Amino acid sequence: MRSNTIDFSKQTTEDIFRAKMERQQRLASLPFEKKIEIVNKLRAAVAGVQREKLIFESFLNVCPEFAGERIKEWDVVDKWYPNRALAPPPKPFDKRPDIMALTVSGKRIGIELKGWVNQEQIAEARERERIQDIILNAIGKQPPNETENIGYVWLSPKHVRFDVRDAADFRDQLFRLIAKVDNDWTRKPGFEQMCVGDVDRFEEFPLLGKYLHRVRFRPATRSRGTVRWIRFPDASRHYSPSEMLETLESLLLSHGRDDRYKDLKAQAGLDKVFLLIHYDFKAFAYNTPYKTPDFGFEEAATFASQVVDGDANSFDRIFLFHFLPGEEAAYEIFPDLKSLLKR
Amino acid sequence: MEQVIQVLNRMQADGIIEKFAIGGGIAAIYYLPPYNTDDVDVFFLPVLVTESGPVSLEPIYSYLEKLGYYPIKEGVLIEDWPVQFVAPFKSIQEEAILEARQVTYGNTQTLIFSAEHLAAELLRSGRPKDHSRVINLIQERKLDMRVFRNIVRRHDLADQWEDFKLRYDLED
Repeated sequence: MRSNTIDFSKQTTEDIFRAKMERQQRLASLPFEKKIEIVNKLRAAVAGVQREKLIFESFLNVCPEFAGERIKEWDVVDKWYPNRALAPPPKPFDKRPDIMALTVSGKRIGIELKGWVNQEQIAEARERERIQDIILNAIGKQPPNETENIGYVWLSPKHVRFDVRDAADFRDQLFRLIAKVDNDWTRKPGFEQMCVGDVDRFEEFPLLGKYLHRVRFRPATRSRGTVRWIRFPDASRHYSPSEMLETLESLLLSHGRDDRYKDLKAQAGLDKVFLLIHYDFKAFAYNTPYKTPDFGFEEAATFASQVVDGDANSFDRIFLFHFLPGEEAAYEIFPDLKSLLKR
Repeated sequence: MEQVIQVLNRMQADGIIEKFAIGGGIAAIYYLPPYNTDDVDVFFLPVLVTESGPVSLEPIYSYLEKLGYYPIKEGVLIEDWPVQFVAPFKSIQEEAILEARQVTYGNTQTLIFSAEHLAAELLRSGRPKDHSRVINLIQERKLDMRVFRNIVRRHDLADQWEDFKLRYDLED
């Protein structure tokens, strides 16, 4: 039976170079679209590294002694080994954890960063934003609201791809619909003129039908927008603060169980490995809030500490960091629950 | 990226620019294995050429602003890509636009510098990373060397090519 197993001991330098060349040729012959997909992943990775650096810098500024002593030097893992001419550990430990640090007493510490974010909510919100941006681009600069009867126009877009070639006609049809509704407004019974009016049948305006579920007209008698008067409905919905706490709980439990961190200390030559969970602008902007009038960041830290329940598996310490400019706060949630403030 | 190209095509159709072609890192990626690049370099021929002074980017910027795309650093952010607009100031760049290669991205057509013009422009530009791309293009056999040498000769890049060959120990 033929075996496909490679015997690495029999590999020559030429084999390695040949394999590298073949890989380069294979990548070079990928379709252009596929190459740009790879470029996008590389760009995201670079942005991710820059972001990790920013978060840790801020954390260090708020809690310079989070490790029980000062940090002498640190770097993102991608730079740690090359910047110090150190031989990296074997893969995949050469890329873990996100931050490498050396304390003043010479202890090597690794810090894994993890965002407290609900990715599903973010994906949903970003998709909504993307579609809204495309439609706003198609509309272009909004003229002043010169209608007689309409205060605001609310667009409910469909989740379909917008063809930029439709932009000019889309804009034209939208403003023709607005003019028509404005003209017909006073023909409605008096009480109806005080209510919002919806249009969801677009026989005369096929491009509106292609891209919109509905156009809602709000009467000028209620309030009148003058500049950005064509808008999208508020995406807010009923929510429970427990949604974000469930996200935090599942993040803590999944990291505790994650085998990738089991041998990290030994493989990367670290004395300690810490987990830094950060709540940042992404969660603030796209996720439902975790706060209520009687539940704040301190309560979230207490909750997180109870979830860990004295068992952090591979991590020596776990921190929860509130990374919003001007509102930075940090708690150690394992092994002890305590606030970490710059002294 | 396809949306970026669509916006550029629309800009050309609307008469804001006469013609454009993609050069720089994205053009290199068309021929080479993908690598990280920050922006899209768009070389364009302006609609009107004034006798004095540099070509104004104002019509491009105001046109894009109306579409909701705003300036960022040296370019304009279009659909998550920083796009840098470069009016040709060297004959090689102008010829690279005029003789650009038509390619399809998704369902959209665009123009990209030919491998030979791209290599000649990178040779002229002369930064270490540009030189590295020229070497990649040669090693990957993406250049018709006869065409490339012809371009180099016609655009006064022969001295730079000689230096380049010496520096990187290349045979002609």
